[in-house]
Amino acid sequence: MKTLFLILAFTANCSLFFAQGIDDEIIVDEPWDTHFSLGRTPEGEILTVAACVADSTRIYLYDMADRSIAFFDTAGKFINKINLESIGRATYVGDDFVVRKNNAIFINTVDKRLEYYNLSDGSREKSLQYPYDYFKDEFPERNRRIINRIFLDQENILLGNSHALFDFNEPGLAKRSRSQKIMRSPPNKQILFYDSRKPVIKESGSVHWKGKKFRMRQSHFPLLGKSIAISGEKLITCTINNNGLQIFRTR
Amino acid sequence: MFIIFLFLTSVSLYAFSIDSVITRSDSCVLVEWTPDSNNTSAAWYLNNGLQCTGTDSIYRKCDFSPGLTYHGVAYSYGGEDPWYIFRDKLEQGFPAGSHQCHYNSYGDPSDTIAGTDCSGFLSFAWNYPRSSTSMLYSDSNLQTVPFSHLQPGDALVMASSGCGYHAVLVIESESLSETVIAEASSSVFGCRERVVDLNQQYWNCYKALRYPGLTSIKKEKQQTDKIQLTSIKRSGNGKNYRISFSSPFSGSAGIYNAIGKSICRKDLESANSFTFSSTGSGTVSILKLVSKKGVTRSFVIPFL
Repeated sequence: MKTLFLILAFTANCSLFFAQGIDDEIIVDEPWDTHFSLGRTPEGEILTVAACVADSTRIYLYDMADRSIAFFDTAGKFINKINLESIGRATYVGDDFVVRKNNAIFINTVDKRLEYYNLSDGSREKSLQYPYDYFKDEFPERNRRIINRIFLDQENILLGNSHALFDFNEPGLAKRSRSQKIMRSPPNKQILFYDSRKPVIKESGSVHWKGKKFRMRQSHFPLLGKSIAISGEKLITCTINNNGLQIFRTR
Repeated sequence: MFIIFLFLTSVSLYAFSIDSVITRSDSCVLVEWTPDSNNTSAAWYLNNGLQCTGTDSIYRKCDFSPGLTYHGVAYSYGGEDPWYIFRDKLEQGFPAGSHQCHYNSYGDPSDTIAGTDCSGFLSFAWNYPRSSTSMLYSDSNLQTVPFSHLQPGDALVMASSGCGYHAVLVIESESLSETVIAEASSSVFGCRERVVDLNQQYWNCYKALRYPGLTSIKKEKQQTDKIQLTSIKRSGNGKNYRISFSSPFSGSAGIYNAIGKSICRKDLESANSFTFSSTGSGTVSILKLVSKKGVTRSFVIPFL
């Protein structure tokens, strides 16, 4: 775990020396009602794309407007959508998610659970409680105690937020292992995406990745989960505005 | 001494402050509940004259699952249940949440759905008269503040057909980009806490409102905690007393006997002392100082 801190710190330092712009291209520019809609609850709350994930072959979007996951290829071509089984909260199944093998694993921050879905048919395979008060004694600030992010590292699940992460002990369920350490982001920096080789961090409104720095693309509507993902050696950024969905990819 | 201990402990619970607002909010967000089949009956909604406004069939029934454990008071349009009433209603077999099946008029006239909506949640947390989102948005008793001056206990409210209708409570406001809010959300069917970035354009629809009746008690608590009794003097026929403090105090001062019965009470304004007459008898009395913001300090006085 110390490695993470060192890598993060090293990346941050490198970025100061090698800061430069990164070209990106738009690979998805869809108006609403093509494959996604800008939904609203009858009471007026916004329902829309809530999280963006990628692996070497796919980009996955969790669409909270219709409780589904949409699949794109890495060039931005739409493939299909699968509906997800309900957890009893309308179209919500989680704030953020990761994809591991044939599972989408969501972090349901309302009920403090991880929801495991089968990516072939959208069925809910299992649900595990996670230790939502893990950071209770670590941080005085609430925003650092709330657990709202999930990452994968070497198939292991990391939970936390943009300031700290811990290794979720899946076999041990909600029990906290004494050997588990908390990984903290360097001061004044936030983890946007965790990957032990090339973490993506945010500092003063800029994104730092692989020793480079570029401006953060803003989304008009907030995503509940991650808006940045990595596919191969490319950085993927998802944004939503009044007109529709846009996905950018570094060249 | 046990009675005195109880008394001294209980008086501090009456302080109402931003801290109390946060505690109330937490109680609604963290409550755990497990519905049974009565609480999740789909037929109930259709048999009780409710209109289901959602277009998707998933809205036309309660889809909380019996036997599963959930967190946070369920969402019910027009509802205003704090966590303890919510749980009482569940025990009585009422359905959990309105799930987009609403009465024709705003609210739950027969009060038979367990849950709260966003403005009901905020009204409860604030200990404020029940108001709808639109009422809060235009309430002249509330003070509009810039986002840059947000503090815990403030609300963010939007109410227009273009933006939508919603109200949330600010829990922590250390930075705009990581503001912690609590809300009763119709998009997740319940009360929750989350971190939001108020710099995003979406939040331009919201107005930041402050309930002036709430203020932080920290400064006043520090001042009240410093107060010491400097003297207790008896005068007149022996039944008049004068009590002096080490520093000025504003609020109410009350004298109680050992079982908490009030002997007298006075309102003070920047006073260093106060006088009272006592005809009671006993060996122990209690002086209770309650500041204007509800901070309480008690002293045991063995003089009657």
